[in-house]
Amino acid sequence: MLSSNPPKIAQKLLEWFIKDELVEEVLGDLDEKYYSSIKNKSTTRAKLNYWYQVLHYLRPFAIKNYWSNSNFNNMHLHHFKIGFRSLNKNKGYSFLNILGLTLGMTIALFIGLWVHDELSFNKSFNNYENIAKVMRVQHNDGQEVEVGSVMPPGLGTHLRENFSSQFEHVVIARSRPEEVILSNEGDNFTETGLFLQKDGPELFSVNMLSGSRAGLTDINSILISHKLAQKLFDDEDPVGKTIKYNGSQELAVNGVYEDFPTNSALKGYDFLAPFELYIDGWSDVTVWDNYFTQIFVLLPDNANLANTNELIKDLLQPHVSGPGERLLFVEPMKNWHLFSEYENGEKVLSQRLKFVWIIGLVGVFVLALACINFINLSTARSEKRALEIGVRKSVGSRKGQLIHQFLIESLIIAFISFGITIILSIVLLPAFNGLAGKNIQLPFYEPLFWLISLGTTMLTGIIAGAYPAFYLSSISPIKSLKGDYKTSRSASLPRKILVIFQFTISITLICGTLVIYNQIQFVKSRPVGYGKTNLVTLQKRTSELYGKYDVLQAEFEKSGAVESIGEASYPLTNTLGNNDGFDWEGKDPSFDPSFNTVKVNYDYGKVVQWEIIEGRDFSRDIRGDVRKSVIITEAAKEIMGFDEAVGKQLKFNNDFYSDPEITIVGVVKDMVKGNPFEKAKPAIMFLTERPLYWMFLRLNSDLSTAEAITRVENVIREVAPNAPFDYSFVDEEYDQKFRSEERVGSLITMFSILAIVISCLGLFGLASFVAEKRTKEIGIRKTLGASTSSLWGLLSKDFVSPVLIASILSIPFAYYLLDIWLTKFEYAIHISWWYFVITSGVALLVAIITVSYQALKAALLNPVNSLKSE
Amino acid sequence: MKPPSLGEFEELVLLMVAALHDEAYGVAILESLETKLDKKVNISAIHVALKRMEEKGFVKSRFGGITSDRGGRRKKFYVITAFGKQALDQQYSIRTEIYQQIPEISFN
Repeated sequence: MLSSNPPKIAQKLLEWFIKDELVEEVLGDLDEKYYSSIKNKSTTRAKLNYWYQVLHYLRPFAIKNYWSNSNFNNMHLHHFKIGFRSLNKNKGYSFLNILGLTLGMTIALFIGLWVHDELSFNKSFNNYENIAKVMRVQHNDGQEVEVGSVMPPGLGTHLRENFSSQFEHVVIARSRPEEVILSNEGDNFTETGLFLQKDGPELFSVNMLSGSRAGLTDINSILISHKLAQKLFDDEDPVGKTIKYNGSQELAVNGVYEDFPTNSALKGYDFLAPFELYIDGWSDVTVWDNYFTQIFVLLPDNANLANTNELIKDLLQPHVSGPGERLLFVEPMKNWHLFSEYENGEKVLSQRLKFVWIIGLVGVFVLALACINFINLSTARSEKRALEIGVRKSVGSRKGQLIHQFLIESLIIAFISFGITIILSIVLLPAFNGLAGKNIQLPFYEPLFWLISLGTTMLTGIIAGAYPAFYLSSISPIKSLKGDYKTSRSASLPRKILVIFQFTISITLICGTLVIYNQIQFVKSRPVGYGKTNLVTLQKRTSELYGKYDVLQAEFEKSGAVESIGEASYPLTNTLGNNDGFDWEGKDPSFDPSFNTVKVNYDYGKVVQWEIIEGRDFSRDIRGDVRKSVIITEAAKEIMGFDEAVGKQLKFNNDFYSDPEITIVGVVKDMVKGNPFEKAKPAIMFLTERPLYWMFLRLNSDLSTAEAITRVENVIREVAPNAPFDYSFVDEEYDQKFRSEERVGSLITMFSILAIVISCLGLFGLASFVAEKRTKEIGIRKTLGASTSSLWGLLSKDFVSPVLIASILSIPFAYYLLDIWLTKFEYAIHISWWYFVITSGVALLVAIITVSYQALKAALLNPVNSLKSE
Repeated sequence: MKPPSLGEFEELVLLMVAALHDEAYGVAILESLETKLDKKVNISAIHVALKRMEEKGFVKSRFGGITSDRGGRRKKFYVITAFGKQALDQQYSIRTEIYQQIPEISFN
């Protein structure tokens, strides 16, 4: 049976929201009415009516006004006032707290933006959900399974013609960006862009500023980015004008598009040109035996990936010659950036995603370090506030109210820090973008940004304030008012643990910085097998430069700027051009390794200064060399398993390179052309007398670089007046390979510096507090004859031990993380003990310097002043 | 000085407060009004009217004794003030005046 009393919950609700002065009258009337109505109505109806009436009091006249005159509000105003007063009173501590939190928050904010940028990669494309790339899984006997996206164009054409219900668009594109020279009225620019079929701009929903997406229908057309348009045409509208492509062909500019955002797959592509232009004269879209394209597809909205994959899986197989299996699948765009790394055919956690995780964690840790400062300083100062708490409690403050008060104090600090963080981040963002290689903007107009950052600030304030709030509010009023409230030894233990935690993180980060820098230096100083300095690469982009090798050689020599020249089919700074299908005596038939295959001319070895360790260089005097002799690298020799390689025969059926039977005439040291962090690729160099695309010039080191380059340019102007002069320095290109690792290095350096700064701020605050507390003790010790140095030791000792413990704790931690980091490099340093010794030494030194300032200040104080105060 | 305005429902409540004289509190006003008007009235509406008129100075209130059927709470009694009576009179005289101006002829 229902109780006949009025509904309790409704009463509570009413009491909660209605003005205090109305409670008695309203509740009284409601109850009276209720009791009178249960006499002649059902209880349920009366209760329902009661609820109905209660809800009717939700109107302005009856609701409590929190902002004018309620107890609740007065209490909070009071808390705010006290909070600001205590901030003001302890300016030093407040400054340390706010500085620490601001640094931590700024880092956390940047890291948050960085992580968001990584996670929102490619989202700028309208068809983000539907774009995919065709990938292949290649199973070769006895080798790791490879996953790649390089395809023959024939596959793309086949997909477009036969699978129109699976793919709305199929676009064949060059498998990598191409560098071309674009010129307008004699101004030449080397630009990077993509060759793709005419539906490409539509598929990628390219944002056109003028012209149209359908601008690639003609073979002699091009779309250019806004940036390039500015370079070529200033502020004129380029649409309808023509530009020169690689110094010869005229292309009509059919559109200008907005630059692709930095966090997109098409980042930095300043032109889009027809794929047909790229293959004009040497290939065709129906070719199946040349792998040099990638194939983008647009899936319909309701696409079932598993079905699509099943349908296209075997399409490549009929066109594969030789052993091995090549299966196809499509990789949706949302996977491209962070979720498309394969190892032996299996999807693995990508390096980038790992990096996102690590950086994210570092951000959380740095913020935690700042919170720890706050916790430590507040609890350490509890003795100072013990009296205040005692008074508050004895006049009736409840524990909950005190907790409230201290939380408000920490929230004030958190929000002040947040305000400074916003200003600081506006100032520092360009520097951070430079460091991280990003183009991040502060999303001030996104409500979500404010929601998240204010939420995080709130959370930070609560986390930092929670422990001090509970700790301080539990101080006993009797003890504190009697004046013998002393923090016990055990009270400082959590503080020590937190300091140990701070320094463990800081030392680990410093150790990471040291190892990363050593690794980069180690690889940079690695022997590369050729002479990088004063070596210039020249691409022969136009036919004008072909067939003039002898003239150029003679002219360069005459100019005095060039010591020697040579040519090859590929540059020195990448490992393009790979072939398998080699056979030699004693080879296991199922073993079919791939070699970097490069065609070179007679002078190549001399100009790049390779180091012959066995046999001889190619020679003009030995006519039998062309198409019959090769020079291999050490790594190739090792793979072939020869004790002595010179004179050995190889079989290789590829007319493009050589006759089927070839002889090894020399072995050179490994040449590091690809990723310098990896083992050098085994390479085979073939000799040819035909002109080759890449020319190398060894500059005269007696001349200044600028002078030498000017002379080289003059020679080229003379020999080939219309050819654009396009050159690069091998050592500069080589250094480019370190950019991403150096970026990791600078980010980690920045984090570790901030971590140690924040930790030291905390230590500084604690030390000043301890020194202040022990002023009397020091005065007495001094009068009894203690020396300054012994006092300094006494005060510093307490802070040295947590740092020492942290040093020891951080060793396994740092070793584990750095070992993981180093395993991704084939060419890596070993982590040796001295990294830890140096790091611990540095941390200890910094900690001692921090503490010493306060310790010495206290030790140098005149005991007369410190003792006479009572 | 012109007295503050008096709404239609407020006028009814004020009349009832005056009529019940010294016995006027929330539920009493509610029940008398419900009988007179022969329709349901919300208690909250009465409270709103009473609070407004108290602010305007038409009524004043005092707490009465404790009653058990109110859960041990006191009644709040309202009485009309002189100012309230004046407002009522004025309202009444305006109405009467206008009423008397109705030409009789139109109803024949």
